[in-house]
Amino acid sequence: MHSVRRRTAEEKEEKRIAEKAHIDKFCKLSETVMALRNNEELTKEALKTAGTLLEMNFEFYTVWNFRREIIQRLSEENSDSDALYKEELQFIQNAIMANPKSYWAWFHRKWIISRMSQPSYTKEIFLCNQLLEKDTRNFHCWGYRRWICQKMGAGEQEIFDFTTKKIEHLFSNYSAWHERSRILSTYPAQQLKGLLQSELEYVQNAFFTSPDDQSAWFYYRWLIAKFIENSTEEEASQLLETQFEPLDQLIEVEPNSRWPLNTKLYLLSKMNGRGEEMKEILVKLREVDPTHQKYPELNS
Amino acid sequence: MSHHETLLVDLHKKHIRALENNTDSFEYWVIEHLRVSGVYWGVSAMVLMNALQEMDREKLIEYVLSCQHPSGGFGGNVNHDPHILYTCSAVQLLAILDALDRLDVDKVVTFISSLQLEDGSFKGDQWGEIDTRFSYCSLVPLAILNRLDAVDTKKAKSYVLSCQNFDGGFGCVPGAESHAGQIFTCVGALAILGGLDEIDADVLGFWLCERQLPEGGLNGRPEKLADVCYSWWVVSSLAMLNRIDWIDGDKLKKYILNCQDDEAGGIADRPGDVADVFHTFFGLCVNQQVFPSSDTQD
Ligand SMILES: [Zn+2]
Repeated sequence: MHSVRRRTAEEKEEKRIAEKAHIDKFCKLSETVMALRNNEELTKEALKTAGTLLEMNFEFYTVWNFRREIIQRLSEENSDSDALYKEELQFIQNAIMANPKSYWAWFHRKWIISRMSQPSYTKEIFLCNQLLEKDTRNFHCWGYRRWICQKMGAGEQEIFDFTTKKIEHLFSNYSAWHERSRILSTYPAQQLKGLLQSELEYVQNAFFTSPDDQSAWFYYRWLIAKFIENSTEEEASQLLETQFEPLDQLIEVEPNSRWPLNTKLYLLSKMNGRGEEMKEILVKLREVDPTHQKYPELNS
Repeated sequence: MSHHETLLVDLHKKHIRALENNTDSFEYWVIEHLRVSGVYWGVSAMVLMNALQEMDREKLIEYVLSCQHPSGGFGGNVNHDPHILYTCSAVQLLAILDALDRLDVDKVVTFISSLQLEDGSFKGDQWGEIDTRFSYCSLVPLAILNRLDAVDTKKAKSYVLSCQNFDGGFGCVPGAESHAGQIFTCVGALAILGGLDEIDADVLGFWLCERQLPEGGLNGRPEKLADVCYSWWVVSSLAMLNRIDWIDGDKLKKYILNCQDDEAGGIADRPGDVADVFHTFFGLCVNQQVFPSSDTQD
């Protein structure tokens, strides 16, 4: 149970009375649906009854299984299965709108799409984009969108541009930064290296705008590590040297912000002979951020 | 909001024992489909409070066994379909109750090995959803039953590693965003498979310790609220990576103690919320993991 405020004794009693009819209905309906299933009633009528039950509890996974059994049977009996599937997509859409974090509902949608002869992938993308407007971090929705993109053969550039759009809307959209890193990871080393300069500027812009938000900083660390991985030692140290100026600027404006400081620590740890500076930063860091006392950079 | 200095052990025991009689609350019914896991969390919580003897052992064993299907898998409740999530909880529960001799081990092992796919991943049941949670939930019972030989552990390992991300964390399938719960299952799976040295523990450890917020609680992803259950996913992952001291344990403990319900017992996700068995169990786990010799051990 998440984010349900505690109730007083009075509220508990009110809730108990209010819920009694609801519970009775749910229990009766559960019995009915289980009986239908035991009797292998794989009919449209049973599909409807199972739907009413799921609407009371979308997490009742056995009922989702029953729905699939019915749909399998009905699609064998009917020539126009796509009409059946479209109705099911509508049912799932309602389920997802009511409960956007239900693993079972999202999986069922994939299962239906996989069975359709001509699914409308653009409609699916549209639905995902709509949901990501409401909750921009829903990883179920991001995952489903990724799956659809793969099915429809969407280009990497298209997905990359989508992350740009999401990030510009909200710099702290970690899900979008993640997706961006995923796309870049598929590029060959040389292509990635070529993109690096513009990408570094892009992410600097983000952390300048909201320096206390973690998302861009994690991405920045990764970019630096990637570059070092694919460069000679000389290239790497040249790049690292250029990174301090913007960071120092930020530290001057926001002296109590922890991320510019811990990022500077990270950069210094990638260079030789900067131990003294690291110690200085560490003292400051522990001051502005008493919760975090240990840093991986100290291990090396 | 009330502040607490200690763990309210007696109240929590009462809370757990009252769960099965709570049938006039709709919350009881909406988790009916995962009753086996609920029982596992409740019984394990009692173990952590040294109170297992207060439970009816025989009744529990019979109940769990009644959820097993001819296929060998367990449903989340009697007459609910078999799934790896509940098969894992059932085997864990029988192990805790010292009743593995009552289990048809070969049947369970056959069910679990039937879930592994060519690429090393595991599906949750016959319908085919794939998730690294299911890798973990397959490997745990096999490890308990000493039957890891029944699956391809090499492929299982490489699949889990293929789900690693830019931040060192793991997602539910390759390419999916990192999430503390998912990281727990992947690091846990790698621990069972002897693959922890393939993780960059500094990169992942940094991401994990950054889940701690100034109020002491831990969140599950960047820019999210703290939640007691995430404390467990993060803390146990850090423990497996030998980096538990990267978070502030005292602050975390205070946060968890403040999530206790001082009237009805139990621990909630956040201070002031309704307590439930899931967060009670994981709150107690964190307490035990971070402070092994503290108040439950009297
Ligand atoms: Zn939680």
